[in-house]
Amino acid sequence: MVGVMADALHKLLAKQIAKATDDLGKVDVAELCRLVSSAYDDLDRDRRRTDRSIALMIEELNRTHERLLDAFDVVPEGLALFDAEGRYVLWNRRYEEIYSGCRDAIALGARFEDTLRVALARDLYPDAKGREDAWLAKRLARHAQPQNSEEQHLPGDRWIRVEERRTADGGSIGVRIDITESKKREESFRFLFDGNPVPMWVIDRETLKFLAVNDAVIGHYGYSRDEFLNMTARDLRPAEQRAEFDQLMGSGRISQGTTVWQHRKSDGTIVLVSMYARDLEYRGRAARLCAVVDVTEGKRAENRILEQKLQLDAALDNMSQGLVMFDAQGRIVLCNQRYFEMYNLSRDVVKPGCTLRELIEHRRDTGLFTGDPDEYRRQIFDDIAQKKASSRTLELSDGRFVHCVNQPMDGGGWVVTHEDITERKRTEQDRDRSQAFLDLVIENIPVTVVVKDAVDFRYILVNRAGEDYYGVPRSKMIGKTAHEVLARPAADLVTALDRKVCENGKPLFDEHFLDTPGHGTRVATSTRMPMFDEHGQPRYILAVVNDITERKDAEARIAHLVHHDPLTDLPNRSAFNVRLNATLERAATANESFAVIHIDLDRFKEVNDVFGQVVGDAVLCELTRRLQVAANGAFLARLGGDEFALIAADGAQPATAVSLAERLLAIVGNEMDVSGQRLRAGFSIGVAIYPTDGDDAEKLLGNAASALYRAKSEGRGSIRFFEPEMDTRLRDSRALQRDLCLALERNEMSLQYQPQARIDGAVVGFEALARWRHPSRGMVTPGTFIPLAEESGIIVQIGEWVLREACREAASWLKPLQIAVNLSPGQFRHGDLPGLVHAVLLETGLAPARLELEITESVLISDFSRAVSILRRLKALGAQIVMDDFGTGYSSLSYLQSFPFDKIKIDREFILNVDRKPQSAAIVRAVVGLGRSLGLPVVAEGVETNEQLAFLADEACDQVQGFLIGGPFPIAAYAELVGRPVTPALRLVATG
Amino acid sequence: MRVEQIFWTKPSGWQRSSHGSDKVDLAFYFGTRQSLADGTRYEEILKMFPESRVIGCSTGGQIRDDDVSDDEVAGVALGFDATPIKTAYEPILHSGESRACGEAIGRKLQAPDLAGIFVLSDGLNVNGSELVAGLTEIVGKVVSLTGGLAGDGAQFSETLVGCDCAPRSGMVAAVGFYGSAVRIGHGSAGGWDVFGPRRRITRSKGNVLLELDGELALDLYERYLGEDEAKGLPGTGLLFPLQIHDPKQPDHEVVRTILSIDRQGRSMTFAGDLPEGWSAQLMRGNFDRLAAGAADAARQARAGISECKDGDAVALLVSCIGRRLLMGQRATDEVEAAGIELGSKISRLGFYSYGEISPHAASGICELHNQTMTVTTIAEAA
Repeated sequence: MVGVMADALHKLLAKQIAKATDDLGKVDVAELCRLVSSAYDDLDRDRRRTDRSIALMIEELNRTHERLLDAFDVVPEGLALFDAEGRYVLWNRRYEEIYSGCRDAIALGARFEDTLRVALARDLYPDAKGREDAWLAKRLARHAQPQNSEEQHLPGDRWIRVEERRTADGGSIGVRIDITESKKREESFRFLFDGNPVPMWVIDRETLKFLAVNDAVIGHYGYSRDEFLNMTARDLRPAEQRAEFDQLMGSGRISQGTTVWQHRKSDGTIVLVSMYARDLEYRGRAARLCAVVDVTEGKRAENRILEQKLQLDAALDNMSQGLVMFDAQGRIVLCNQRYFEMYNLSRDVVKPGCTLRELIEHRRDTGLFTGDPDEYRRQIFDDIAQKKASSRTLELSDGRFVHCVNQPMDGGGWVVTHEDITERKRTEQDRDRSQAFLDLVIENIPVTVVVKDAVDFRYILVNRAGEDYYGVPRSKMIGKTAHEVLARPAADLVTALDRKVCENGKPLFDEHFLDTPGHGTRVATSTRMPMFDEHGQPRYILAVVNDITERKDAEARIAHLVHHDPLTDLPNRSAFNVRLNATLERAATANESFAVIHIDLDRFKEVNDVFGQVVGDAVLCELTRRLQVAANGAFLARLGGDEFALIAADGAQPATAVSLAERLLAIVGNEMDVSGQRLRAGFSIGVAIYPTDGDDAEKLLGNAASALYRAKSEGRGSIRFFEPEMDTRLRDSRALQRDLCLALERNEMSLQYQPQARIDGAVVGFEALARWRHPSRGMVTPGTFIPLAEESGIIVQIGEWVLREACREAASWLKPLQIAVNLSPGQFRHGDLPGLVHAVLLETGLAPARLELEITESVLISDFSRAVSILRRLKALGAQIVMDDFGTGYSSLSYLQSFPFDKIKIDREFILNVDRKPQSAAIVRAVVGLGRSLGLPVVAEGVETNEQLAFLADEACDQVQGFLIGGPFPIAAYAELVGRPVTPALRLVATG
Repeated sequence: MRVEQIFWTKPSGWQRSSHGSDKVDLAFYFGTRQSLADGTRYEEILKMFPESRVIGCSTGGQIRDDDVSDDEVAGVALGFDATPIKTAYEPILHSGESRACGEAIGRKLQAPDLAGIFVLSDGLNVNGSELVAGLTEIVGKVVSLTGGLAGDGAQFSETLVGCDCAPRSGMVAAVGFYGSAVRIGHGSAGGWDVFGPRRRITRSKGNVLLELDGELALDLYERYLGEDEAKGLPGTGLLFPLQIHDPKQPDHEVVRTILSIDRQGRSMTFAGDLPEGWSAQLMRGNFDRLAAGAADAARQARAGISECKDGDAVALLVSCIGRRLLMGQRATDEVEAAGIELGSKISRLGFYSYGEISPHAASGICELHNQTMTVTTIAEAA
C-alpha cells in the first residue's frame, strides 16, 4: 500500500517537474515549488475532509448511543446486558427498580453472580431461604443456558418473569417483567373457577386444548380431569358439528349463547348447550374461558311446540283460501300466507295486533279495496255482534273477485276466509260472452239460418239474412209454420223438405226455386240437418239457405261476355272461330259451300283521332246495328277494332255472298248522325268461299283477309273476292318492304326536283321528291314505297336522307331558290326533328329561309300539341312551314288557325278538276281567297294545262307547280335554272 | 474512420498530430470560456476543416490523452467512411424550456437509422434531467445518448456551446450518428463513498432542494461540511455531492452536484432533479476510488466498440468538475486510469463538465449524472 502510494507520488512529482521544465530543459524551481505546494495543499485538504467526515461519523455514533440509552429507559421491562464474563454492560432504570434492594451492587463491570450473592445475603429471594448455595448454583446454571424463562418470587409477594438469552458475542441479555398483578388475578380466578356450580373450562385459543376444567364440568360430562386435559374443545363436538365449530374458531368470533351446540358426554349421550366465552390470558397463553349452560331439556320442549306450530302454519299457509282471525276487539290474531298473497299485503303492517281499520286502510293503499272502509267495518261488526255468519263477494280493482265468509267464534272474535273466485266468475262471463258472440255471428252471417221445431215445423229462429231472404220480418215468422208465411207451392216444397230430413235423420242438400213473399222467385241452395234430443229423436231442424240468384245471373253474364264483344254485344273472335269450325264441319259433311266475309272500316282510325273514342264507339255501335240488319241472319262477329266478319252459310255461293256484300255496302255506306256529327263510314270487303278458297278455318279467314287487303289497296269502298294471286301479291309486298330497308345503304334512293314558279312563270324553287330504283324491279313509285316505309318505320331514315340531300343540293346552287322537302308523320313521332333540321342547316350551310318543310294534316292529327310544338321550333330555326294537300282532310281550316303556316298548297285533285267540276273551281277560288285574306301565299299543285294556269292566274293564285311548269327530274335537268352550266342532252329532257 | 488530434496553445497556436488531407466530417473542441468566447478558435478550426461540422463548448478543464490542462484548447477531427452525421442546435433561455429543447433537438435528429447522439448543453441555464427526458421521448431509449453540460471552471458564471457557429451562452447542440457502420460505446461511473445517515428528501422543487428529513437543506449541509468548507459553498459543495435514489428502486442511484446555494432561503440548487420522497445520502471522494471509477467507466465504453479492429477510434471523456476540484493535480490519476483501460490506440479527448449525460449502468436508461466520469467511444465497424 505504501509502495503504491509512493509510486503515485513519484509519478506526480515527475509530472510536476516536466510541467516546470521549459523547452530548453531548464527547471523553473519557483513553479515546481508552487506545484508541489499546491499538491500538498490538495492532499492536506483531502486529509482534513477525511478527518471531518470521521469526526462527523463519531458524533453520529455517540448520538445514536445516547438515543439508545434513552430508549432503554423508556421500556417498561427491566433490561440488562452482560458480556461474555457475565459482567454488567448495560441496564435500564426499570431493572434497577426491580432489584432496588441490591441496586448498589449493580454497576458497570460488576459480575452478575456477585450481585446475586449480595441479594441472597439481603434475603431478597424468599424461595432461596435456607438453601442459598444450591439456589445460586441452579440460578447461574439456568442463566448460562442459551435461553431461559422462569418466574421469580421477590419479597413483598412480588412476582417477576425472567427471560434470558445468550448473544452472539457470548454475552447475554436479560429481560424482567413484573407479573405480580396477573399472578394475583390468576389466583382469584382459580377460586371463582374451581368451585363454581356452572360448568366452566379454559382452552388454549391456538390449540383448543383444555387448559383447565372446573369440578362442575367433570360432573356434567363424566370425563376425568386428566382426560379433559388431553382433549381439545373440538373433541367434545360430534363429527357433524366440527366443521361449523372450526369455522367459528377461525372467524375469531366468540360464542355468546346465541348458538346451541351439541356436546358428547363420556357415556356417548349428546347434550345441547349454550356457551358463554371470554378471551383471557391464562398462564401466559392466549386462552378462552367458557361457561356451559345445558339447554337440552328446554330445547326439547321448545322443539315440540315449534313443530306443532310449524305443522299448523304449514296447514294454514297451504290453504287455497286466505284466512285471517280477529279477536273481539277487531285485532288480527293470525293470518295465513295466502291472505298476504291475495291482497299483496305488507308484513310490516299486517301482523298480530293490527286492527281491522288499519288492515282495510292498508288494503285501500295497495289499491285493492275501493269501498267505504267505515261502512265495511260497521257491517262486519254488526254481523259479528249478532253472532251471525255472513258472506259477500268483492270485486277488486285489479279485476279479481273474492268471496269472503265471516264466521264468529265463541271467544268473541271471528275468522274470515277469502276465496279467489275470479276463475269461476271469468268462466261464467266467458260463457255469456260466447253465447252473445254466437248469437251475433248467427245474426250477422250473410246466409239464411232457420231453426224449426222438428214436430210441428214452426219457426223457432230466423236470422237477419233470413228476414231479407223471405222479405218477411221475423216477428211475423217465429211460432208460425211455412204455410202461414209462404205461398202454397213454396210452403209445400219447404214442408216436404223438412219432413224428409226428419224421416231420414241425415243432412239434406237441395237446390230449388222458391217464390218468396218479399223478393219474388229466388234460386237457392239449402242444407237441412236434424238436431236430436237426448233420446235420439229429431228435436229441431237447422236449415241454412244460400240465395244464389245473383250468382246464377252473374255466371250467365260472364258466359255471355266470354263470347261477346262488350261494346257491340256481337260474338267475338273466339265465338266466331267456334262458329266457323262448326260451319266447316257441317259443310264438309253435307258437301255444301259457304262464304267468309271479312269487313274493315275505312279510315276508322281517323274518326277516333279526330272525334274521339266516344264518337268512334258510337259509330261502331251504329254500324253494328246496320250490319245486323243487312246480314239478314248470317252469323256476324266483331273480330276486333274496326274488323268484322260474317259467315254466309245459306244459299248458293258465290251468288249469296255477292248479294250480301253489296247489300252490306249499300246499307252501311249511308251517312249517319252520331253525337251531332254527320259522318259517313266506308267499308272494304274481302270474301273467301269454302271449299274453293280454302278448306280449313285458318286458310279461309286468311284468304278473306288477303282479299280485303287487296280491296283496300285498290280503293276504299270496294268488294274483292279472293283470287290465288292475291296471296302472292301480299307476299311480294312484304319482300319489297324488306328491300326498302336496305335501299339507303345500297344507295338506291335518289332525289328528283320539281320546279315551283310564280304565276308569271318565274321559277322560285323546287320540291324535292324521293325516288327508289330497285335493283330488279326498276323504279318503284313513291305511292308504293312511301306507305311501306311509313309502316316499317324506315321513313325516319329516308326522311333524314332526303332532307340532308336536298339541302346539300340547294346550298350548291348559285341562285338562292327555295327548296321544299316533305316531312312524314313518322318523323314527328320519332327522334329530334328540330335538332336534325338545325344540324343539317349547319352542315350544309343552307340559309334557313330557303328551306320549305311541307307537312300534311296527318302530322297534326295523331298528337296535335306535340306536333305544333315541333313546328314552332322548326319555324324558330327560320324554315318555312307549308301546309300540303290542303282541303283533303277534315279540319284543314282549324289547323290554319292553330299554327302560323307560311304557305298553303292546294291538293292536286282540286286543280285537275278545276275546269271540269264547278265545285272544284269554287274550292280553289275559296282557298286562294282565304290565303289572300290571311296573307298566306297559295301554291297550286298538279297544274298540267294552260287552261288551269289561266284559271289560277285569274284567281290571282300566287304560285304553281306541275308538269306544265316542269316535271320531277334529276337536278341536272334544271342546271340552268339553278345557275349551273348545262349539258345539252339534259336540257333536251328538261324541255321535252 | 480517421481521428486527428488538434490542440491550441497561446504561444504556439494550433498544432495537429498529422496534416492528412483526408476528409474531415466532424470536429470537437473544448476550452476555457475565456479562450473560446471571442469565436476566433472556432473560425480557425473552420478554416482548417471547411467541410466539417464543428461543435464545442467551454469547460472546467480539458482532457487530452493523459493530460488535464486549463490553458490549451483541445480538439479532435473525425473523418467517417460510412457514417452520415447531422448536427442540430437549439437556444435555451431558461431551464424551464429544457424538456421542449430536448424534444426539438430530438425531432431534428430523429431518423430510422439514427444510431447515437452526443449532446453538449449549456451548463447553467438547463435542467439536464429534463433535457435528457425530452430527447429520449423523441428518439426512444434504444438510441445511444451521451454528452455533457458545458463548464466554466469553478466560476459558475457563464457557459458556452457552439455548433457550426461561434460558441455562445444559452445553447444546446448535438450531433447525430447514422447508419449501421458506426459503433458507439459508453460507460459511466463515480467512485464516491457515501457517509452519514440516509435521509429523505422531504421538500424540493425540481432541482432545488429545500428540506431533508424536515430540516432546512443548507443548514444540514453546512453542519456536515464544517465551518471552513461551508464558507466555500457552493464551490466546496462539489466535493460533497448527494447520492439519491427512488426508494422503490434502491439500485438505481444517481449522484447530484450542487450548482448554487441560496443562503437566505436556505436552499440548494443541484444539477438535476431531486424528487420528493427519494432517499438522499451525503458523499465524499477519495483520490484512488475516483480513479478506479474512471477506469470502470472506460472499461464499459471500450466494450461497446470491441468489434472494431481496424481504423481509428476516439474516446470522449466527460468528467465532473467536482472530481477535478477535489483531486487537484491528481486529476490526471483518473485520466490515466481511464487511458490504461482504453489502450493506446484510442485517442482520448474530453473535458470537465457541469453534468454528464449517459445511460445508467444498471437500468440502461439515459440520465443526467453528476460527479461521474462518463466515457463515450466512437468507431466504425469494418
